[in-house]
Amino acid sequence: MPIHAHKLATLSVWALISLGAVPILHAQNPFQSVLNGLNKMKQQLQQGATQPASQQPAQPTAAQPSPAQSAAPAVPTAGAGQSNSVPPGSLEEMLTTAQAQLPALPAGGLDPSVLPDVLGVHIGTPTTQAVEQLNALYPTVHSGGAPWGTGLSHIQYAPTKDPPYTSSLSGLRPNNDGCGPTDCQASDAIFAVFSGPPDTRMVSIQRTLSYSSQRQVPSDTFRDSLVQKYGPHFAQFPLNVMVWAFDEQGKPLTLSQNDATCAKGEGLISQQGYGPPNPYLMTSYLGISTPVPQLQQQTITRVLRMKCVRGIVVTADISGRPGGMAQQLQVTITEVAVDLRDAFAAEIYLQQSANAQAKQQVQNAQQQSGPKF
Amino acid sequence: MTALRSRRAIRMLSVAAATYAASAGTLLLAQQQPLPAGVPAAPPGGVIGSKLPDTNGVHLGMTQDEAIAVMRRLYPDHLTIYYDKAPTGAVWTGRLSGTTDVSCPNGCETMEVALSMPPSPVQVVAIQRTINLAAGKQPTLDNTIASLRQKYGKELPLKEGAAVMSWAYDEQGQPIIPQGPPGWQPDCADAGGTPGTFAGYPDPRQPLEIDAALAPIPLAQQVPNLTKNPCNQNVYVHVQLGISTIQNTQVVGQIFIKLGEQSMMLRDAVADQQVFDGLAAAKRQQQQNANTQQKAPSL
Repeated sequence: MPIHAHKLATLSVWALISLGAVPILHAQNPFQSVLNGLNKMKQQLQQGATQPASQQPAQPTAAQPSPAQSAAPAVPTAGAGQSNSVPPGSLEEMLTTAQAQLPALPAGGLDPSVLPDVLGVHIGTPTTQAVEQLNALYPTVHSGGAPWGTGLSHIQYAPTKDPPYTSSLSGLRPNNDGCGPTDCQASDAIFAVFSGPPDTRMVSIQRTLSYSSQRQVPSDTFRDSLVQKYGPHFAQFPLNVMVWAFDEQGKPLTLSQNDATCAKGEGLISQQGYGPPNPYLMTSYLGISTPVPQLQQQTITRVLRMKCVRGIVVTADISGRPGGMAQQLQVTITEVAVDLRDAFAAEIYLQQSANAQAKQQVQNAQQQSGPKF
Repeated sequence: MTALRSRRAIRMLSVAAATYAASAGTLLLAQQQPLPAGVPAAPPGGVIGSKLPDTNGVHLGMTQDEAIAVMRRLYPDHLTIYYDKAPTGAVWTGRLSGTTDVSCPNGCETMEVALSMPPSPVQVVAIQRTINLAAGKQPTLDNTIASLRQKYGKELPLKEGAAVMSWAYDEQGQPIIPQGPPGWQPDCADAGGTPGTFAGYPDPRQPLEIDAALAPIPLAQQVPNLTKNPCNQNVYVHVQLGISTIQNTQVVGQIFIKLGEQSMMLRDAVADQQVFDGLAAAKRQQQQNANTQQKAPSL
């Protein structure tokens, strides 16, 4: 490739990754193929959440964490209230006990500004703020019959009367730097997942940049940019997958190959929800679907053991051989610790709500004389 | 030629009159036939609906008009009347079907009422009612049982758990404890079937045509099996409760109620079948008579 083209490609990638929004110059529309890619991206995130645990946690168990600081999201109105005493042997007791094994918050609380980012949107950012930022980066534009912009999905806690919360955002905008003279199969897609109340934060963000075959980027250019952004302490996987890990103060962690392998497949507990018109009705955040205490405990234990890196994981997948050309770059950042802490807090809230709802049902039943026979 | 036509017309009229007389005579004869042994006789004065158990005001033993009036009041928006036609040519209301809400988003109930067929008096012989209770309106099991006992009295001692309850009465509405073979439980939720009742069609101009009250087996062969079943006698109420447990408290979400005037159901079905058998026999006799009056063809 000519040197000037190489520099142009490097500058484009650097601008895309570090500086933020790219002006929309064309109205070209590779909508369908990008939608397919977006759906595949969503599936990958969900499949990662169901991978079996194979590693012990890399981080030592922490002391009882204090609630994460939350700037914007509203804690839902309590249809349930808080129970003053936790019934022994109950699911709520198991969850409360398990919280002691969760990663502790950093001293002084969580500061997303020191954590890894995509386009300046830092992982761990409260949901409302993250949505504002992403809406600005992926503005709504109706072009050629297919809209660019963002869409939200929602989840509602079933045993409560709380309004649905924003559980994920998907966004799409053109990647004009990726358009060739006669081919504009290029796009810039974003997908973010947010944890549920009582604390709501961005726990995952994934950006997929695709380029037309006429405007592929050297793999090494992508790689250099990634190293410049996320640092040199990464684990390398074939074909061209890079994995970084950070603690919750933004300090890089050095992973063993085993931990890096586990981290590469790190999935989310938080779910993406449903798009309009109806939210996904959630009865359990951790996926506990049995009333049997032993099986409930097994689920909790499995969730805790699945997490091998209890901080932040950054994964970059360059679709191109080292030394060759790449047509796609995908970067995923996951805040494993926040996802864990918020999942348990949400599950306790759901269980308290369900218990309060059941108690009310019993009280109602005791006052009902039954239908007219 | 005119004389020939006149003689032929007179002959045809004579055959018709004889057939009618034969049928009427056979019908009259069938109606007066004694019921086979084991088929319960009607109580003195007949079955009176107001004396028999009910659900939501629909009594076993009610007449067709009484039942339709109550069902219209209970299910003003969703009531369907089904019609049947007996072998005698009589059209009657064989079934009533009502519901409070076809989609049932906030609880609902349905009721099916079966009526006996003519020439026996048309009366309610079986009722099925299903109640689905919305969340927030579901009573405890204890409250439900108390309400049912208040309505129907102390239940029979079944061995099926708290979710199933049964009551038995004679045809004058008095509680009884029915007897049966060793090991038999008086849990007669249509265990005796619903003989003599039919689904029907909703258009009275096109009723479902019935050709028999019972199975196409000679009555003499059917009756012993029918009368041997203790669930084909007396009056029953049977309730099954759909129960869930919330925080160790049992709560009722669904109630299935079945009522059956089993004695009347069997009695009317047998009596009607006797009539239909008589009509069929008369028709065969008529055909035979007509055949014997046929002249031999010219050879």
